[in-house]
Amino acid sequence: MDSDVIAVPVGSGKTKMSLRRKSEIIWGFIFVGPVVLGILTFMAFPTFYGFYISMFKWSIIGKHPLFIGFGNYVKLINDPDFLKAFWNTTVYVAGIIFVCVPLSLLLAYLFNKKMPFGETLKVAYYLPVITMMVAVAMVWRWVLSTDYGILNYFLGFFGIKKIAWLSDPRWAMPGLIIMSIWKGVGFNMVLFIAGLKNIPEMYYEAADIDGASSSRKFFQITLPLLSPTTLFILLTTMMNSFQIFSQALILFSGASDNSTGAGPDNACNTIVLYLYNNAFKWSSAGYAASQAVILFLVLVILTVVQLKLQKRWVHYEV
Amino acid sequence: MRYDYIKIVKKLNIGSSMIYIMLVAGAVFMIMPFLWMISSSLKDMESVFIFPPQWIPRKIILNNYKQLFSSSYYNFGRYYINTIIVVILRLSGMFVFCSMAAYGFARLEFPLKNIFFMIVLATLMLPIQVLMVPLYFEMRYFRWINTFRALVIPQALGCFGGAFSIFLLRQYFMALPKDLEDAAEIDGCNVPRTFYSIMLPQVKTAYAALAIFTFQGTWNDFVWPLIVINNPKKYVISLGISMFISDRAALTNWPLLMASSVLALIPIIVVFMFFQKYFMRNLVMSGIK
Repeated sequence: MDSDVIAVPVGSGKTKMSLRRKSEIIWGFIFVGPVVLGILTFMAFPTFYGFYISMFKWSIIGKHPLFIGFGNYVKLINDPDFLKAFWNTTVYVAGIIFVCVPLSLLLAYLFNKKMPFGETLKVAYYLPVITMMVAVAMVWRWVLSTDYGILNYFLGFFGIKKIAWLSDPRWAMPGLIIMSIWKGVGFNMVLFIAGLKNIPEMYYEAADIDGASSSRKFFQITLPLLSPTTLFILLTTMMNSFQIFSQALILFSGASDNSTGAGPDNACNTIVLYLYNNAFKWSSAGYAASQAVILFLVLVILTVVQLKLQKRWVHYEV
Repeated sequence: MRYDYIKIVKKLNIGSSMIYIMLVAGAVFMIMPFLWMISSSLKDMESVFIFPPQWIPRKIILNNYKQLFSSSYYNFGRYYINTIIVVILRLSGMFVFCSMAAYGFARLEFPLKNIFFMIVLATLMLPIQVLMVPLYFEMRYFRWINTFRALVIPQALGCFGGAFSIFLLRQYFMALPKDLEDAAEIDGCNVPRTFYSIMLPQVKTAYAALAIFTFQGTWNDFVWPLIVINNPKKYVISLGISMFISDRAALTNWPLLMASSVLALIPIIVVFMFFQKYFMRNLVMSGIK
């Protein structure tokens, strides 16, 4: 960084410069102070405080937390509900990574050519991205409804029998994933389109001269040169999907008796949902905090992987 | 004429028109839930259960919307006002504090600057979901539960995603020529004056994009209000909708639910239609970080 070189007008004295330097330091602290204080108060402190809470048997109403060391963590590994929530979250993440990301790449690839009303069509795919998750999840409760929902209505055209998306444990997770793909595919699509636009035309021209087929061009030129975008999308999608919460809460609450949003037979219980219910429904804040620490560790690991891989895997364009 | 016609037919080979048809079908699938929502919101309780579904209701009813605004139980007028208050306060907070911090990080030299900046950047990977429990205790300790303070102050200070705005504005400030400040300094401007009257006007375009970004984030925000607000008088729109899930009678009243979703989605879709370019640009910018 060379931005600390301050241009001094010719003729200004030494004392004047140090005065200006002093005022710059003071103003510097005043300018960044509020934000730094805010982040220390509302983000840094809670991170450590959360770890502290996780060492206690701590209910959200009661006043006397009981120190139990790593007791919550021991309970965690032996809690079938948590393990199931962790597994469900992993399945959800895998579903998004293996279906939503390739689909958005395909869409971006197809949209990268000129076509009539291309921009308008793109908007249709992008529209769900900007909308409120809670509201569209409410709409999807109705879309996925077994007897009156339009998804089953359309599947009926293909001779598929009515599926109980929201009450059959086997179909709850696929339903949740379909809804999330609908909500998120446009986001990655736009990122992929931007990535595709950055690939210089000359590579394709050279390949055309050599008579390469279009699939060869895709695998030998497009994919390698797109790898920075792809890696970024894969990891951010993974991190965001691990935090899945609102969709499940809205889709499945009230559909069964316990009303926790975990879905039939806990089929859509996710880490954050379980954490939320533990803290705010069942009042065991300490236990919930230990789950948050686990989630935090997962996210940290993913970030580190992202930073490491960026150096190795990715073909940056010269 | 004839010649042109042949050329067009040749251009439209079967493969690419198949792809086109698939893209159109996909787009229809994407839009379908929205049309279904609007259609259902205009029906009464009987016609909503007609199967196969009627896309255009035989009898259009506005009663559901009326109910959402006039009944004392669902007070969507109140939720709208609350949401707008929160949006305005968060936006002003962002304009003041985030741009000051961005300028400080971009252009001023002071001790600990890099450490501070690393802390700000690190928050980008720290989602609010992880901090739910400790934040709830903290808010309770501050006595901020059920107040707009809780909904506004952290975000105004760049927390919960605000770091992204700071980072982006910093890039804009860094791209400006150093001569601007030098000239201001010779004219005797002090730091805040230089910032306010020389540098800020240079990054206006960034603000338009960030304002939309913040509006979208605030309007759709759900997790944070869910933690800190439980008094219906302070509900924002997203909470107003989620309230239905604890209300078994309302939960099967599909026309009412769909009407509430329409109310929640319309403002953001209208803003999107007007400022489409900014939305796309924001998204691509977020990919560059």
